[in-house]
Amino acid sequence: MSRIALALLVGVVCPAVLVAESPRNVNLEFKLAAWYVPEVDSEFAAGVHPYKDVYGDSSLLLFQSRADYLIYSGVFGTVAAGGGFGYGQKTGHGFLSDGETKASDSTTLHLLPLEFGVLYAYDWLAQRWSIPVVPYGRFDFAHAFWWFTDGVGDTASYTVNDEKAADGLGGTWGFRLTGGARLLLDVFAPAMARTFDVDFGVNNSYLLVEYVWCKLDDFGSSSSIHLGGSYINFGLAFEF
Amino acid sequence: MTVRRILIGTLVVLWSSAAWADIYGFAVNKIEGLNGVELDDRFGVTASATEHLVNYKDCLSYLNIDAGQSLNPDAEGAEVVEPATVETPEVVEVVDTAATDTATDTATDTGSDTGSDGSGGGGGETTTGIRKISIDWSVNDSLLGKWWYSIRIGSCTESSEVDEAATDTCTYLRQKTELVRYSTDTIEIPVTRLLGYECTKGSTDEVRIYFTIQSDVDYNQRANQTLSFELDYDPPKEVTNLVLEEGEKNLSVTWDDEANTETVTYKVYWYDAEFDEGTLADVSSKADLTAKSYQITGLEIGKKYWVGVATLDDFDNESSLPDLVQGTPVLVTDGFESYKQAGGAEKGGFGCSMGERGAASAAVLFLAVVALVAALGGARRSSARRGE
Repeated sequence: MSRIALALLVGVVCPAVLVAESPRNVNLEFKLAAWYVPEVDSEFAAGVHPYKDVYGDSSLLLFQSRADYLIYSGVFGTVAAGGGFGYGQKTGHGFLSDGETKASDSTTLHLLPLEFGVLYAYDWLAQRWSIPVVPYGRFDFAHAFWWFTDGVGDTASYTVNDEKAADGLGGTWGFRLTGGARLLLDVFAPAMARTFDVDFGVNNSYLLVEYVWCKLDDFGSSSSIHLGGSYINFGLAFEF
Repeated sequence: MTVRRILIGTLVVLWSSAAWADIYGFAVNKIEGLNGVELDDRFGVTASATEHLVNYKDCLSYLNIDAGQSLNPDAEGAEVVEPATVETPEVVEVVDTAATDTATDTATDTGSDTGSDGSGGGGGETTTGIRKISIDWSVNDSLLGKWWYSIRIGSCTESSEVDEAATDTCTYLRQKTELVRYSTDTIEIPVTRLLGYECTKGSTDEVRIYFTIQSDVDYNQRANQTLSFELDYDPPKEVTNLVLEEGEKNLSVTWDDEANTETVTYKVYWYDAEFDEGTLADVSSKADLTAKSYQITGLEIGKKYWVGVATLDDFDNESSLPDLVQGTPVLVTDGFESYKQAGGAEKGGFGCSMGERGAASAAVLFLAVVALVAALGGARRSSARRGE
């Protein structure tokens, strides 16, 4: 009798262990950033904020995807290494020559961030006992391609005395620290999760939320635009 | 081959039980303008064309008249074009070499070749420069026995016989004729038979050409094919609330269009001087717009431009222009210029701009990359070993 009760308990608590899953090799993420305002204005003295003047203080829309290869997975959690890329943009309005009146022309800052680094996730409890919350952290080196466009969509430039003094495009290095938590969806629909695994090889599906602290200024260079910032990512993750 | 002909003939007979069935194997191979008529593509000049459209400008062009003019001397209030400038329709001599005696007799009997321009008759007619279109058509060449055909224009009864009497609204382009040139035949039609003598703005109409074939053995064996030409001289309504916003080397124009319920597109005109519908030749334009806004680019800062928007319908009829709006492109400080003007140090480009701290960080970065690659390589090797 007690064996039957134990079997039922195991079946309820950890259904995932009852069916053998396919091997896990790759972690795939798709994320959307919220509250990301590039710290361009941090380069200037107090009261000077050209970015805010043109683009306001609402978040830049940033989509990111990422893939990691699982190096280690066991009782201490999972270690993976990989990289990703994204695209984001923010549109605002420039000024007429009086410097105060907003122009009808739009001007857009485009960002194409690349990143590569290491992920650590403590997912043993989720794998072994189906406890659905997985905390994780990540360190990445990052490089962001950026470019400004003017009112007709051309890449912006800065001219002095009719001579081009600076291009409105470039690339900036930096790094990124991330901490977050994933919610394992498999425990809420185990039958669907098994089908997902058998049909597509997806072992685990997660909802994720993470906090990102990003420093993008060519590692402290005084002649680089500051594109870092702190923001929250929401997204989905899949393990194959 | 004989079996095939019998089968096809049987099919024709079966179809003929419904008197206005399509003609088996009927095809319009080509439509051409003659004597100075240059047909637009929308007229459907190729074999694959499924519709034949004429708009107001086409009508003026095909008749070779200007707006408000007419080829009909009886038209009230319309400017009459003298014959010296535009050849008016005139009676042409009919030398119908294709028709047999029987066919000619029948045509005479019915007296149905009553087109005012005398355009009936076969391919031997002399034309003396009348503006025409020619329709090259064909039917399947496998019909059994002797067959007749006739071609009518107007509003006709589809199930009519090949020698049905003409009416006020249905006249013959070609009288009952023996169908001998099965593979291809050409009928030439004065443009005025198709379009009338004037182009009345705001009007719409449909003109049909009826091809009828009929067996000599059994008059109940006949089939009919209709070629429809849609005439639409009704331009769409003007856009309203034209608004112009001035940008750097550009002007953005927006407008409203509440009046047009049909599918329309828009055409934006702009020029550095005032213009109207009569002086559009040198005016820059952008057509086929579906949105109610457009940004005109490549303009000169400080120069004044006039802008207008016209509406076009499916027939490419163009509305009149609303009152033009004017604007002058201005200097605008964009996001990067704002950054630089505020003292931003970034110079752009992809060169290395790291400071001393940056160089040290880059070294760390390099080592990290090496470590990552090594870790991945080790993991792969372990994985491969497990696989063995």
